[in-house]
Amino acid sequence: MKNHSRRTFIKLAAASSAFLATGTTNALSTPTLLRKPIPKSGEFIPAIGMGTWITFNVGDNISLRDERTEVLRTFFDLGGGMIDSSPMYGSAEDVMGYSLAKLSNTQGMFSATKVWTSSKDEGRTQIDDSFRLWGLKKFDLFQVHNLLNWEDHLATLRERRAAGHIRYIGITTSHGSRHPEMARIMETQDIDFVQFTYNVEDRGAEDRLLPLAADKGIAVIINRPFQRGALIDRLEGKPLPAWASEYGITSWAQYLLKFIVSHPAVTCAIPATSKVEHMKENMNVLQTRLPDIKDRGRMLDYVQSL
Amino acid sequence: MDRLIPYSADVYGTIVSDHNLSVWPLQIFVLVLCLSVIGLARRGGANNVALMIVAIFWIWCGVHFHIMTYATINWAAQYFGYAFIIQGVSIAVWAIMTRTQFIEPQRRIWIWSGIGLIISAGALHPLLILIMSAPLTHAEIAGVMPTPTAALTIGILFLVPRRAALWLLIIPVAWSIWDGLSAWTLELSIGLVLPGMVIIAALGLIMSLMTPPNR
Repeated sequence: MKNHSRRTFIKLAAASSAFLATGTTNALSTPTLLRKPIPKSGEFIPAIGMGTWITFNVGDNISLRDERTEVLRTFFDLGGGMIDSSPMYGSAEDVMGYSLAKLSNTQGMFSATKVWTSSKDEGRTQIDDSFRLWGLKKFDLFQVHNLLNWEDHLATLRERRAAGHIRYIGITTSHGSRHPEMARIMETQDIDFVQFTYNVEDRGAEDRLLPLAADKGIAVIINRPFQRGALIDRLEGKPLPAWASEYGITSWAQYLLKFIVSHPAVTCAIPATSKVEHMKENMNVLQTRLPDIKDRGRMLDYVQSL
Repeated sequence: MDRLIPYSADVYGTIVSDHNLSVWPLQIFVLVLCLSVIGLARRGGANNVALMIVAIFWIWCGVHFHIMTYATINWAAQYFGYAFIIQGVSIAVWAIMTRTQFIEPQRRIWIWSGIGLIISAGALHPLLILIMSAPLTHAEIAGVMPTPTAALTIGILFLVPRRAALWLLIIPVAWSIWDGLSAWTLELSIGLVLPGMVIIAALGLIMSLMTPPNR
């Protein structure tokens, strides 16, 4: 796997944006979908993925599992890639394995999960459990959840990466208070991905983590894009600005996602949903224009004015 | 708090419904038992039977609801299950160890509080469900679901003619606080009623232990 410098990363990011703006084709299989590069390898992945926190934790109820399977089917049919889960999410990994087994089209899946335990040995068991629950022989990405015992788990993940069971490794947090610790890890450790919260209200990552990720060539996954629905609830009923249609935005969910993935350092956002209609809405972001830096400012100003 | 609740209100309702349906029509038998403990609790000797029934309810909730059902969506539920099993065993042990104790009858207010709580544990939640037009399969009753079992327990402790052990309140109150906070986080207003009653009743029980009995 190549280790790209910041200059190379910026070229890749610019290329992906230009590629989307012009709609020109290249070697990618779906030329009009918004994809962003993973700096460490140059691999492109769709900029909108899927989270499973709460939404896929449905226990043993078959009816609910089948509903989630339809959400996942829609995700893949619309060109989805990254699916993110964790042992912390209750039965989500088990339900994911159930749904994947039922689908014939999982092309383009970028599997991502986490290890979440304070014990190194328990971490090894958890990693094995994830392979079993998902029904996979290889994971694209394994992350240390909420930085819990990251020292031991990153070592374990590096072993598994060297053995070819995992392609990328990373760390995650959804707590703003952990950003300084995350930055220290980014500065000192060889990791491929980071995951943290960033949206129109939670913008602390702009100060340090996003620039640092760009500088270090670390891919960025954004969680909690809607603050677990609270952002959408607050904006629902308020009018979208007239210029939103220039970017193909027809809903607040799309507005919020476009703001996030238009940041040049962001690789992928992972909104979670249990509804097929919402999945279609989210995935529509892959098909349409991204705002540039100036327009991102305009998007922010408009939301703050409401 | 929302980071500790890895599921939605809809999914929680579904697993409660699945749990209730998996044991139906046991709820009818349990309801009869709940009402019978009112009479058993006030009778010498028979009040041990009432306490044993409650102890079995705790163990059953711990195993069948927490460990076998709730744990499918909440990793913490297996620990709740262990706590419920400990509570059940504790009640049984306390019942045996204090079986020869007898104190003067409680004041009427506490007796009626206990009776009211036991009836609520069996019937209040289903009534609220009907009023709010929610599915009846989401109803929680004592012996089958945790919070009404906690309410039943405190009701029994009001009635049995022996000095209640305050340490038996720890798990019912702790669970009710958790359940109330979960209901608050999930915006389930109906889920606040029983936990609130349990906490208030626990305070009432503590007060009852501080007031002298009737002569």
